[in-house]
Amino acid sequence: MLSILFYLFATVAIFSAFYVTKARNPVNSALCLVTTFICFAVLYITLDAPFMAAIQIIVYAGAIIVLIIFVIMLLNLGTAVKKRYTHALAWGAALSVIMLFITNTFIRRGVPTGKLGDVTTQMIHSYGHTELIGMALFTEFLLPFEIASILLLVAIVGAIILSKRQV
Amino acid sequence: MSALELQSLLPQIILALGATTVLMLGAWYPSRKWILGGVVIALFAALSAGLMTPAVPEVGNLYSTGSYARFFVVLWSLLGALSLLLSLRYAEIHDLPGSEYCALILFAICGMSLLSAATSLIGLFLGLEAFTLVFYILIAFKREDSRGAEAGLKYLVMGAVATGFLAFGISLIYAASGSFHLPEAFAGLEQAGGMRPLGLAGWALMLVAIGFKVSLAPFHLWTPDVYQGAPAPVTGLLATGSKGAVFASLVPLFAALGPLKADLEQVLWLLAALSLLAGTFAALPQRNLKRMLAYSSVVHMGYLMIGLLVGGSEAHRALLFYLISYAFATLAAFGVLTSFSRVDDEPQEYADFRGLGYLHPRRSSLLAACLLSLAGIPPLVGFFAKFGIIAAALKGGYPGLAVIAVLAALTSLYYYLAPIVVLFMQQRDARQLRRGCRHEYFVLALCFSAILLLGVYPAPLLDLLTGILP
Repeated sequence: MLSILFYLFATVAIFSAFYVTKARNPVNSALCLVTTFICFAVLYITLDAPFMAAIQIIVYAGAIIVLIIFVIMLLNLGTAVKKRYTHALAWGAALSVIMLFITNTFIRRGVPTGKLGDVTTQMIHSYGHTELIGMALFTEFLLPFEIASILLLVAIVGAIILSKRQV
Repeated sequence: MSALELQSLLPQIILALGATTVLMLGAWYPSRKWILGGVVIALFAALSAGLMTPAVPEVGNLYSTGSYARFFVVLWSLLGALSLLLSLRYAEIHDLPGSEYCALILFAICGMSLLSAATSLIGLFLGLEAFTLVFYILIAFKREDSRGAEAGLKYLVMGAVATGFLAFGISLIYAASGSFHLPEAFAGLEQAGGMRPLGLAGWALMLVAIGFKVSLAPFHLWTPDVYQGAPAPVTGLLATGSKGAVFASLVPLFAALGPLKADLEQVLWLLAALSLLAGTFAALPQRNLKRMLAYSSVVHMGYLMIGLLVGGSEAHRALLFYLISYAFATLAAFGVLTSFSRVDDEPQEYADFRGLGYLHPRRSSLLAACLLSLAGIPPLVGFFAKFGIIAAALKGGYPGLAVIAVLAALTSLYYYLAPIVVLFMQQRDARQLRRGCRHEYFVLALCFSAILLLGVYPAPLLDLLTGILP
């Protein structure tokens, strides 16, 4: 049952990701991207990571897509911005096929012998996923968290400097 | 995190807090004098890194506080302080917001010193992002300049793609070995390990990202445009600090590789040889000083790659020596360009420099000295640096690379001498360029004395480098 669900959503994710690049109207591209993100969120839920799924929906499918659509609207792009076919697409397709092939051989040759981490499915069910992430984020990964906040500060300063007319 | 760990991370905390303070105070008292405040903060961080003995060897399994890491905190803080001093007049002329500029450069130094201290792949990623993000902004800092905006956009797109590659590569390596921490992260990826293909795929992606960030040959196409469009002092820091910090972090990364290095050897060989050749051939026809320096930096990255490929403490010492000599010569070259720049334009075409040696003899001679050092002419430091790398390549059993390196060094004379010929041996028809100011002369003199002194008497620095290498 779960594997049927996985294949279903994985197929939808791949096809909508393909249509992101294929769609001629940028708004359609953005909507296909939303579909891809939602499929990913479902996959996260099947992996016992509901918090990641919620973040995926709120941040990616919500905030970032709204931003993308705003930009598309502000730039006022018409529908026919893309040509039907370019040679770049062919190169990209060839490269993707090669990559798919390489990935396939890698996966077939690899033997997953890696050690399991501390967090098991039972632990997630007894503690809760969000609690585990919170614990890790504010104890073990506190310093990376703070450095990431510096990154965000820099990004805010940059956005203000680059967009404001007179500082 | 304990108080001892915080104390051991003091230099980086000084930089980050100082930057935030300058940013906040600048909102109430906007002034370009904050750049001087930034210089003081950077020097303070350098002092604290140089004098303080850290209480713990490693902070949060992320950043080392060993002598290697602290040496680079001092180096990047000094380079940052020098480029802030260089920018003082530049910011005035081009009407750049002083406190924001200063805060961003301080954040960049903080990122660089975190990156070169990284002992974990997460630390590496965060440090790298911290200063790359700053450079996206600094490159496009002159808003009226359309070339700067183009350069900023190019660097942003390329850099974002590279970041994606890096994150994906790190995640594959984590999936294979279950650890971010450096020696353990590559454990179990060798021949017998079942997760080896995954680890190799991760390394392939990471090499692409690293290639982008330091502009190695197949990934170097952004370099000339970004160098050309960015403000000259920013280009100086980008060319020295940002590339240097990546290489400083690669040395412990490759030392931790162990037997996996044999798998990457051919790829690294190819990257080094391609960088040497492609950079040399692209630099030959250039008639623009910034673009020429961009392509020549690709060649220099090729030399550094040789040092990384050969491995071992001697080759790594040669690499670090090369890095330092390259950093001072390049910073001084961009410093001269900064000191010539005026409101409307930055002189960078060779035509702008025609006969300038007679109008501005001191700065022109200094520019010539930097170019000669980069080319590797004996009394200057560049010669010993190149010699060290080539000797290491020969000793380490890479005669092919050594031959390519020697050929690249010989050919480089052509493109380094071309601007010198323009400066000193052509009719003097250049109009007067801007007079330099005290700060700029101070920085230029300091860089020049570093190039000359290290060239005449490199022993103390070499001893120091031997001491800090793990």
